[in-house]
Amino acid sequence: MTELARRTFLGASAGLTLAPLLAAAAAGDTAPVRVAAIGSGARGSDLIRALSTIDGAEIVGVADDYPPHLEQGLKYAGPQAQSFADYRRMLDDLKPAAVVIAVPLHLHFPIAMACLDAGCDVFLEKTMCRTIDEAERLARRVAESKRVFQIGLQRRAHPIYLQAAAMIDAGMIGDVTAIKAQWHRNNNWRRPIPRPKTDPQWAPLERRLNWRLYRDTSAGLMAELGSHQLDVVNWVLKTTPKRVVAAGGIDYWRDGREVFDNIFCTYEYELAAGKKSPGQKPGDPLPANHAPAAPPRTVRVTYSSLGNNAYEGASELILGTLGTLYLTSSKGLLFQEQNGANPAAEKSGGQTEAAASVTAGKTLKLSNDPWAFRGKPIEIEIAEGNDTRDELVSFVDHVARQDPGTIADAHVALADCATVLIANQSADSGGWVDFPPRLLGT
Amino acid sequence: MNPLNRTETDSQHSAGAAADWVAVRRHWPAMATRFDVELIGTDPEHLEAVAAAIEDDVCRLDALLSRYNPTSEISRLNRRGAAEAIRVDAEVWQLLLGAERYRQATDGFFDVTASSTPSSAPRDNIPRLQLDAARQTIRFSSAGVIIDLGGIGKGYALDRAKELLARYGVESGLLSAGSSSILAVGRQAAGAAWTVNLRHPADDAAGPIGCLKLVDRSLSCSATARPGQAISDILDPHTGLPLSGGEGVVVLAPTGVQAEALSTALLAMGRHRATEYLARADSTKVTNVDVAWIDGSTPAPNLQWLLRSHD
Repeated sequence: MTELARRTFLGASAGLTLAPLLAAAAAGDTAPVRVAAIGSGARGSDLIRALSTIDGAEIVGVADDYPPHLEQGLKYAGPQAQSFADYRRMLDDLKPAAVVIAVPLHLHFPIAMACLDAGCDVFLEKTMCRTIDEAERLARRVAESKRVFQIGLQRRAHPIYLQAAAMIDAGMIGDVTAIKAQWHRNNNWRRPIPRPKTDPQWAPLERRLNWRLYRDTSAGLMAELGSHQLDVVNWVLKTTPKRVVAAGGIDYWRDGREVFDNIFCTYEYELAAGKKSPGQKPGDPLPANHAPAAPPRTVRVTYSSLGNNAYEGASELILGTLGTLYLTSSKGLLFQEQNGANPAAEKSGGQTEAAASVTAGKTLKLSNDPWAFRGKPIEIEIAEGNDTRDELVSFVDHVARQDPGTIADAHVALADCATVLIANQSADSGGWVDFPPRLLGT
Repeated sequence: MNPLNRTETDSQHSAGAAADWVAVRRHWPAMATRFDVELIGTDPEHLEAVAAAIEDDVCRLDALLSRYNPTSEISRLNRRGAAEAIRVDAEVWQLLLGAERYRQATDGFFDVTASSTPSSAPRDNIPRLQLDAARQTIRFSSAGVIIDLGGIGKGYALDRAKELLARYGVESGLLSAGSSSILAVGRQAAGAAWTVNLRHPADDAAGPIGCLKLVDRSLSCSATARPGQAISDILDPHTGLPLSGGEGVVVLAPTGVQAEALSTALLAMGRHRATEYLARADSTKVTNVDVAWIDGSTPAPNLQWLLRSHD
């Protein structure tokens, strides 16, 4: 693809995909939305910081029951924000229009339910809930309440991922046949504790600040990291998995933690046969209606997360019959498949060479060199935008317009939650686990 | 890039000084350079967690402040600041407010907008950045203004890291950003000051030209060019042209931001103006600071102290 063709393509499709977000950013003539923040640890503070830069939002209060976090959140929120140790008191006193919740996973359900009951629109950090049952109940409550709900899966607002989804829809990598993704890091995933180990308060505080490491408060790597990437899979395949098999363990960081320090999963997705997956638009009649039914096509997805090697980092590799997308939150690359190309013809521009060449006495050998089929990647350019800020811009805009069709609504949230939690179930039980059939179609 | 280098023997010394003390080291790429931390304490698991928390925070700041990252807040400002007043968060606001104060205090020689296009040069003494404290907004005076926090970003990250050490009860550590900015917290395990070797600014192969001892002190080193580099990437904020000559400035100050802002400004002034500036700067502007000048144009580089706060 020439430079010009590439720019033309990106310009045209970027216009299609980014328009809704940018339009949202421009809306700002009405009174600001009164937003309260619940939870101001590291992620909560990121959200408060981003909210504080959005013209359409006014942060009216911050609640956190851990004083150092509360102090940090208030610093970002600004002097107009009131301080609360108890979020219920804040809901009563301030009656915010919307809340932004970033608390340990096991508290997502009770706090989000309480906020819906208080009549608030809700932005809830991922993952939706600690259990699938809670997530179903929360999704039902969202539907009953008719409140605006958004889950914090910010890749849905990320320019690279929006572009990639549009490229897949446009058929640029052909049929998606497999996806490989991982989030690998090299650290112990522990938050430091601001007290010496000899302090009697150390143990309860450790449990509280390192909630990610314990099973009663956390669903481990799948919920904290995998949820973002498996949401990308659900998004681009436009469906949920059928089943998963996974294995994991506590094999390196044997420091008293209860959640796995490494996990490896294989998911199976089934796409309707004949469907030019996943270019099909939602609501389009399936070609199967007009043709004899063929068995569905299985797309397998491998996912791993671990905490003692960072070589592969966090990325998703979406494999299609015509090309491959390599996606990270700072870089997106499209590799077009090179099989069938004649390297000699490529080199001379393909004009004067014979269409095929043979070499006497030699058998054609396909190269096993991983770079032989990759070609030169085309990079997805990021024009602008920050996914955390943009997901909140979009949420605030949906609240202002009372539009429940957020970029990651309760259906997306529930599907993502069940997708990651069945992998944990499989790793615990040691066999295939089906995606709950009652949730299909969510 | 700059003439600093820790000696290996120092770290060995610190680790072996007392049986109960352990040193935990961690390094990672950020802010277009390499960050290194060495933390001293008695609980390695705790020190590891603190080092990881510092890494997280430095990477967060990199993503927030880099003008080369299109998703950063500074990029958002650079894209839109000429068109409208941009609401920024408390942290970016404090940094830009601090930068404006350093600009005023250094006669404009420290200027985070130095890499703006020439057409946006300030006229009638109206600064390129218009700060509205009531609304916490920033607006550019004209198109072509570019904010680049490269002059204080690393120092700010080190200052934040020092706060984390205090919060988590780590009393001893050496933090460095790309060997041009170093922040020493407390002393080494045996009670000795942290020691840092100064390298020749223009010649990597030459031996150290001096050794500095640091206790609760920030050090920033600015040189016009790294060894082998023909054209400096530091611009004179008044002319917009790259600095010339093989010179270097070393500043010791209470905080990383102070050390970096002052070393950048003094280098841009040049030795003559810098000497005059330090002689007349009143104590509210420059306190508790040490400044040394390195003339790297000679085979045997000359390091001369222009200002000593102690002794």
